[in-house]
Amino acid sequence: MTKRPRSSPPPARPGPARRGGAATPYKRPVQSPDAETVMLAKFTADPDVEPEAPDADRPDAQQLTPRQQAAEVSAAKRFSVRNRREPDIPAEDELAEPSTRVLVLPHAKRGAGPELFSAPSARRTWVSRAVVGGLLCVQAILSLRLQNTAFGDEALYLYAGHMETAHLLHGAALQGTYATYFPGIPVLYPVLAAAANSIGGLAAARAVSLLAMLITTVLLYAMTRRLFNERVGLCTVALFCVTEGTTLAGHLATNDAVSLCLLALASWIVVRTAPWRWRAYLLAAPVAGLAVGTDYWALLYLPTLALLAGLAADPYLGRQAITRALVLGGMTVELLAIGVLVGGRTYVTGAVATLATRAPGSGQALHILTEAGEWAGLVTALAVFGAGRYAFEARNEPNELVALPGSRRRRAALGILLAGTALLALVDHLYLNTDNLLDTHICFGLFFAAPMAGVGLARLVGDHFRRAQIGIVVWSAALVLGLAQATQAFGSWPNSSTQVMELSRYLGPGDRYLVENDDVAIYYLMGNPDAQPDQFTSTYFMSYRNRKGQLLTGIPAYLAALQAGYFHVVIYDSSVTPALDKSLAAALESDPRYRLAGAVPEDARDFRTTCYVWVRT
Amino acid sequence: MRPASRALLVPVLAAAAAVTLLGGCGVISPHSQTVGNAGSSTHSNAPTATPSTSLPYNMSGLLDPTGGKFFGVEAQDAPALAPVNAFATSIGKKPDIIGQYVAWNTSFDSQAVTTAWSYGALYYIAWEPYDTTVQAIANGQSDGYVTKFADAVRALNLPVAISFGHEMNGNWYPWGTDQASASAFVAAWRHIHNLFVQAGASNVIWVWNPNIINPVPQVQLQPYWPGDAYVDWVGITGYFPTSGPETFASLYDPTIAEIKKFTTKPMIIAETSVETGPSEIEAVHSLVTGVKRHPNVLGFIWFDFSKDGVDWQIESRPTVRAAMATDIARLAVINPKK
Repeated sequence: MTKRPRSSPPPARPGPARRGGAATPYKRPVQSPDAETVMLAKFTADPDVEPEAPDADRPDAQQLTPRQQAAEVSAAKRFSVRNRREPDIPAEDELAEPSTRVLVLPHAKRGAGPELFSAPSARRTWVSRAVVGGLLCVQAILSLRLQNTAFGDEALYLYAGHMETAHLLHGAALQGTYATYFPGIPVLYPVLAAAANSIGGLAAARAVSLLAMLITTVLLYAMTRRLFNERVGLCTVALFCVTEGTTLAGHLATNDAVSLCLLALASWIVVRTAPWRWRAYLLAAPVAGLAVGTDYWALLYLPTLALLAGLAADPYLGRQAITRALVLGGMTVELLAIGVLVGGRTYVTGAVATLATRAPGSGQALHILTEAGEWAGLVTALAVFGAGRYAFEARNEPNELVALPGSRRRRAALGILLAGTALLALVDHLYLNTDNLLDTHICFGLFFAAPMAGVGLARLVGDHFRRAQIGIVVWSAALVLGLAQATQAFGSWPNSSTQVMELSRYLGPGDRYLVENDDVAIYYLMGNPDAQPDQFTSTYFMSYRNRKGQLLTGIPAYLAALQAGYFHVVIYDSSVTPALDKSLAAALESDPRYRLAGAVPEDARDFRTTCYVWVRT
Repeated sequence: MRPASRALLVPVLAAAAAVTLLGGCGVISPHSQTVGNAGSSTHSNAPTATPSTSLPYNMSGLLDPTGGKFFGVEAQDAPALAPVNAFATSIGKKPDIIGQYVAWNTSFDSQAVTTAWSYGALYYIAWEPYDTTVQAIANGQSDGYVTKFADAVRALNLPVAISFGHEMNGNWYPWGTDQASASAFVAAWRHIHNLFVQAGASNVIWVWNPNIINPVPQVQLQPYWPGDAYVDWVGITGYFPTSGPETFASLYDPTIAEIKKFTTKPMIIAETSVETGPSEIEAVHSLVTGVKRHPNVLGFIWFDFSKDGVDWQIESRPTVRAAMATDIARLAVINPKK
């Protein structure tokens, strides 16, 4: 690595001598060989837009000689990549005094003219990485501080993963048709989580999610600095890592974190390979396909990914960039189609159940909007602000190192795409009429909106950190909101430890248990031969054929089963199906075969409920 | 803003953000929550330990115990242990039930239960609805009191036997046949029971306790029966008077036979004693032998009072005491704590 001369001022911020009107512009440092970073500065990428002429009013421009100005314009024209010519790297002698506004080229073109292209200084790079590292620590702390017993979905994925693993390895029968209702392919995330669970229990399974979210944050930074620059990348990560969705997804053993991580990897690939001529961006297709397989919610974000591929490549490829969007989108869809052909149509059933099956009832819209506003409002507002500002002005301050911004149209499109993606999960949840896991789904959209929010935050801070206090206030607000909301969300289900212990006292061979939200009990009692999944019935759904041969569903089915003494243990806590629970309580109180074995208090963060355990005597 | 003030503001706000983070971590941090050890779970996700005291008392061993009989006492000045100890010393065996009469609107005495349990005895409450009516109770007029009582029982989490409105088939109590109907009694019983269920007080053994039918043959017991879902034990009150009858069979069998027509719940002689007289030794022998021989009878509770001019106390009656000591020594007594 070539060291930057000590006498050189930092590349991003011209030194005082220059700002003060030094006679000679400073010489750009030679690009370090491994700098793979933010790119070109003030070249306009659109052939319709003339390269900027040196601004006569600008102090530093006044220092340029006519020859320098001519060289700048000439270089700008040559590097207008829409010409689809290999840029002619100016000869050394053409740039005896190189422009300060010509920065790094991507990897493929490195080495062509070191004086012309420049990376951020090594110090800046490492300081940025150190800040990202610090933010990752904050993210990890925020997630790890959350404590509760397994959430229902976590329990379901984990015990289903163990079942799938046993099925795959030993041919054991599956006790459930998971593929028909899981929001992802059951042999992907559940098996991975179950493997982690086998090693270190629930904590290890949750650690997989935390690792995935930390990688997501790193990829977000890497992507954002390539789309904009380090400063925006840091602002982006600072906002993203403290949101409620990020914190929550990082400590829930559900498929969201891993899927988002894969989606982030695909996004990073399309941005990283944007300047490359060979079709490396197609590597994003299988990754995106895997993300969709892990969590069908990622399907919503494939159009964003494809368009991002096009818009990221636009400054380099011009109109041909649109083919990237089409090819990437088409290839990903093809891969998914192959996956369906190989895996069967049950996955389609699961995807439809996840993304397109409305919950009964109505009147949830306002509630969903309110929650979405609480969880994503700040970042989305910043993203909208950033998108607007970015469309009108590519830079935060003169001579700021930024990636090729392209035309205003391209910048506006990028802003709309990224900021608008934040709304996708909200729109689908409004259609589904449920707020179930809305916060973690919103996190998918926030991943894409965060770069624009980062732009917005950087603009609020202003050039040369002029309004740093505003940035700190905004970030502190995001932190406090995320902290409080994640704590509340993670404490929104009651601690199930006592209920599980109480149930474990009444297990018997072949006995049947009616348990509200039975997944948690199944998970914690997984090793007990008297507590196998097919011995459990939840209060969500039941069909029962009575003695007259009638097939009953809903509350009549439960009551008929009770009347027949079908269940050995009945547990309800009014957390999911209060109407049914009331009917069960009335029936059990007058049924001589059942006796109340215990009423277990269950503590959530903001409420306490009572879990009633009835045992057949 | 001037650069100097801005330079100050930035670190101040940064410090504020740091304090917010640290404070949030501490203040907003949820309670420490762990999952309890879930039985025989062998997976690595097996929950970690939680104090087992938070679990409801498992009553299954007490509802129909085997391997022995209950031998209880309702002593003057109980729940203080002095009279209980005096009783135990006089016959050479510790009782495993300590009974007490509790008037309506009296608070639940957690200390008495704890004391009895520490002694090795189940606490038995004869809950007497004085100063109210069973109809008023059924109508919910005592819900506040009953719920508070039930909450206290649940919170204590030790087994308690409760007999509400004992001897309801007689006419000598306000809740008896002269002043309350059978349907009102049943409604009150079920209402109280449901309030206890709603409070989660599963640690109660519900004892439905009529008097023997001999003095009130015209009163049918079944109309007073709340139902199997609401009762755990059937208690029977019946004394061996001087005038006879003198045997277990003649005293209790008619009542047992009638009760068996509508329930198979286990029974206990919930209140008994032997009046002074020529056949008192035989009566004691018949009582203990009868309890021992009847598989469906869980035991008996000795009324050790001096009341209404009759001295039922065993300590002051050497012959009865000696007979009881001899017979009870052969009776296997339950330890309710096991």
